[in-house]
Amino acid sequence: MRFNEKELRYVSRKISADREGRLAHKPPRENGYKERWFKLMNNLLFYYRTDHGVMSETEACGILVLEKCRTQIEVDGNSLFVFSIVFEDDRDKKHMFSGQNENQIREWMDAINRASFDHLRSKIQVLRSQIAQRRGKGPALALSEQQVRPSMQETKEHHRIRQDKHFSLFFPSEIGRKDIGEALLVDL
Amino acid sequence: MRFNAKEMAALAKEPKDKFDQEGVLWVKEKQEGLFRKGEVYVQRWCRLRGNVLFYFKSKEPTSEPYGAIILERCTVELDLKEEMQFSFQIVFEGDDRVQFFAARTEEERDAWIEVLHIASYECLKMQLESLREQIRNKTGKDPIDDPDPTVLEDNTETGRTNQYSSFGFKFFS
Repeated sequence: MRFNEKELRYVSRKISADREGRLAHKPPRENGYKERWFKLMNNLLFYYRTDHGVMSETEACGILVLEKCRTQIEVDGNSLFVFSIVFEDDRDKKHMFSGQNENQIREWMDAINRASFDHLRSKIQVLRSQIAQRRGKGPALALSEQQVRPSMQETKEHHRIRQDKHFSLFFPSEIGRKDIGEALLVDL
Repeated sequence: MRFNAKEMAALAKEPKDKFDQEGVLWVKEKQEGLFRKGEVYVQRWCRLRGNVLFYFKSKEPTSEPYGAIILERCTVELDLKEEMQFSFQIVFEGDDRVQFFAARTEEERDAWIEVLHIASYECLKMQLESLREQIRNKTGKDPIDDPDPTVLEDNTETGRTNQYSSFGFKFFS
């Protein structure tokens, strides 16, 4: 499968990591662990070769897209602190990770569990539901999948900040800044 | 760069309701084969799931995706040159690469632009922050606590439930 590797390299240099650190990695169907430096950015887990415990290359040697996956503690004879990432399609194929202490691996598991796009969407859904509840409309209002996607106002506000030039090409010019600002304020 | 293609392929085959948008698009690609010069528009079945745009060689439900584009640090714009009718482009930041697409109708083009505009993870995070700020301003409380790490003791099928409880949200009465 092709993927936009070049752009992802750029992303890995531009976005600051939510979490990074050293872990030994054993991909599925491979025999040994290899020490790698991991950087978690949003739902992307980049990994880099290491030399004596530090990143030895500026470019990642691999990436795992973290969607539909779970982590779990593993017992592995050779190492004390091990967890795996299991992707839903094939639960026998585990990516194994070995760390330095229990705290470290639990923090990694926590970060990986919360990384997916789906998870972020759920969080937004919960907040929308809270807002709706406060307005007395009840939580059911915010639960449909449709409402997880942002409203047009939120979209426009986002793009007004990021690229005014492109924004004006697509959206009607009569929507002024005042309208966008007001649309974002939810009356609680 | 290694890529978890197999796991991504499984993601790409999920049912329709898991996707934000799907449809046929013309995608401008490098011509393969002996005569490699230039690029052509090829029809692809496309499915957008979150910040990943999959494109397939055929609409056959069991087929593997031909490729995936992860949409971060990019913008979606109209294509003013319009080599093909109803075309649009994804421009990648920090790169002179532009990916051209064309839809079959104006409505489809606009629908795709609308979803692709907001597809990035960073965009979604901004929304979360915006909602969080609203609640914080109105109630004086942050609705998102740090998740309780001990909740992670989970080796069972109820993983999904535990994920929700690890949010640590405060629910307002």
